[in-house]
Amino acid sequence: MNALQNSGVDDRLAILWDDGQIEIRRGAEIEASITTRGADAFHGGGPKIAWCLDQTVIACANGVSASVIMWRIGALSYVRRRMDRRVLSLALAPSGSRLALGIDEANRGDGRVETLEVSAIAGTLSGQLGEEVMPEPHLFEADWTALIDSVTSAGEGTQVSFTVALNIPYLNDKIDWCEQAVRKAGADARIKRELTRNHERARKSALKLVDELRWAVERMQEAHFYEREISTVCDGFASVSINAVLGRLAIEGHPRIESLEEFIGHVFGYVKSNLVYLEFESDDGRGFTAAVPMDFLLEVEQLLELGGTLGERHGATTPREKVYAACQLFHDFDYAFGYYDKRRLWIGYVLPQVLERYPHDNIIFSPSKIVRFGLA
Amino acid sequence: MFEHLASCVARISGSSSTGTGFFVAPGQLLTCAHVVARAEKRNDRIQVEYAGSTYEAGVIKYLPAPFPDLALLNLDISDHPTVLLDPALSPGTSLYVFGFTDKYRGGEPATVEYEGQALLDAQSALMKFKGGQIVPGLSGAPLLNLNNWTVAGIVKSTRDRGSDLGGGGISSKTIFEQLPELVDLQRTIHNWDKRWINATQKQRERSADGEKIPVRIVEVLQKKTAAQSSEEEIDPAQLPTKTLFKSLWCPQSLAWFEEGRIALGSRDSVLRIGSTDGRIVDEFAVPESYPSYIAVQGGRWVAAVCYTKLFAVDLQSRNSRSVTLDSAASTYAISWSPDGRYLAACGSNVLQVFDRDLAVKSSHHVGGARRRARGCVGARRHTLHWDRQRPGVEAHGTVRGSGDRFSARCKRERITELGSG
Repeated sequence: MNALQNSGVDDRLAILWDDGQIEIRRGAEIEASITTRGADAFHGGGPKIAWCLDQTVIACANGVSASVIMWRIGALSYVRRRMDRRVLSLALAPSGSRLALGIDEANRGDGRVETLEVSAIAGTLSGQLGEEVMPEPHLFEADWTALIDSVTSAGEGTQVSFTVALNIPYLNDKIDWCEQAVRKAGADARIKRELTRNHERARKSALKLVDELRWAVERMQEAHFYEREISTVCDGFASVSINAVLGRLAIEGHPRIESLEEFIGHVFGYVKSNLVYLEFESDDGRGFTAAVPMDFLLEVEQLLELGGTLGERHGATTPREKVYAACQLFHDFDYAFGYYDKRRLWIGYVLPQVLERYPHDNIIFSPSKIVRFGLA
Repeated sequence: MFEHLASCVARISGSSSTGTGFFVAPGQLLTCAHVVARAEKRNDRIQVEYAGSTYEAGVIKYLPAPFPDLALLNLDISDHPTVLLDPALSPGTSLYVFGFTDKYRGGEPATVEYEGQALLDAQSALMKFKGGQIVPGLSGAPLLNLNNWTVAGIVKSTRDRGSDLGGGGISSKTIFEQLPELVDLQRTIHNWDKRWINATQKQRERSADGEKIPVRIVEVLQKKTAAQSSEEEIDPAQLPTKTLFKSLWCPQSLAWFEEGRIALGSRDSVLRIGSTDGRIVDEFAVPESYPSYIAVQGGRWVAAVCYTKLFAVDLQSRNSRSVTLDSAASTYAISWSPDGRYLAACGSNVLQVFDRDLAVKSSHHVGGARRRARGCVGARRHTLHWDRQRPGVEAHGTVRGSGDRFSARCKRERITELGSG
């Protein structure tokens, strides 16, 4: 949970969860809820939820991103007002229509308080916003403790007393279904043989995944990743890998990994236009590309600041244009991404993709080894 | 595994004597002392053939025959795998030997069975094994334990050169006793060089007729994630901001208590009262740390949580006071009663009510037993609600699961009324 606030006039509670869900509760009953982008960190400090416009609109910030979300309670969509830096706290004027925002400092002592008039967008909030739902992510998850333990005990020089195998029911069901479909189909024997080989390859890929994961866990332990970070990468890599197998099976609704942006959008739940194809390069000349959600890049303050400065003469005014300007014109990875942004980028998006797409020698586990980046 | 063992083994020659050695650390080859005894005595060169190249070796440690008959050589090479020594061994265990004999200069295997220890005296124990032909050149060869795929010892002698009567060896236990520096060295090496461990693991998985290794199944399931609702980004021009106060240190807490006045706490440990025209009208240094949560009552009474302290000030008289909270470090919410007479503060395990002078009027331990029973470690967020009908205050909050693997959804069900006063 990230924030909690009672309405002040009745017994309703507004809650902002870590995964981005906003709920209005009366006791244990959920009266209304909406799903927004979650935060991967918790920030303490002051209030982050305000009941605005006669308790009809919830404004909230999670303390780790540079935006305020405003949601008319019960609506299927919400609006986001991006700021240039993290919003640490917010407070509502007694009139209920103006918000004060505590904006984080970039350099020591240049934090500030800003106000905005929520009533100015009352029309937008009550009007029909686009009510189409964003694409659903196709992610997989597991408790990776056994795998991590097996690698850890091997690393400590002690004998491994067990081996680890993966069970992926969803993938197994899909392959079974494909095999049955081929058996039943009245196709040419040569085509059937080809399809059967394809299914065998899919099963082999699924079996190989555990070895790949084990290798990745070893490398991440060497690079001093936290266990939680390792689990996140394993979830992401398994998701990409399983979806890649499904894509190769040509199952309807599963794009092939060769159409990278469409594929990554399908896995992580983004429309293709919301992905930016970036290239990363290390000092020793190794490099790779990865599709990264624009939503993530919009939260990287240093990138936005650079984009604002560099993009000024090119007319980059909106946050998106600023991000594109920074990625196109500025190539110093170290300067464009702060330490935590680098790790979030690597763990959340880059490593899961490159582990599937590149040979072992090319993979760079530590983002600190990357020196250049840019639009691919 | 057998190929991997072969890649850890080298042929040793010097002063017309030959034998085998194996890497126990980078650039460190273990063999029998009698293999290099003549060269050591004559101060001759010791040559090591490994992976098609010949290296000159020096002697680091020489422990002569008959016991323990060990020599540790060093040579200028580091990119090679290393064996894993393990003292665990029981009679009846099958052992695999690989070394360089005169007949098979490229390497010859043998398998033997461990019979037990043969004692030269109370302190000197040799390994005794049977059932394999130990021929010249195998001295110094590693004895691979086929039960646990580690090196159990080193070949020292033969019972008969012409038949499969087996021979004698020095156990890894003795090796560690005689060369104690190898204990830490081996642990360190296999921490970062996992080639031996990986080969072992693969061998275990491959041996269909071998021991049944337990398999732990990791279930990879679809993640239940709701699709996000649609989002519209507001054009900054449509919802412009106005800067009220600048040059602040992390404005962590805000309370807009009158249309024209805002209280704000920032990391420089000052509680400020500002007006909406951008002026700071009053400032109060707070104790201990910055105000992380502010509550204002009636435009006059301002309270703030400052780490373990509760700070309160009367804006009219500018009288301020502070008190240490029972809940220390984990107080997340404060709230004035509607009549402004009381101030409630709720932390991870205590709900306290104070009067305006910060004298404690009541103190309640909230939900501690219930939380412990649920395996939780502390509350993370609270909100306080003053009941207008019945005098009193209620704290609502959530508790955080003790493990990181609890999902947000599990925690969501843990909303509970923690207590009332």
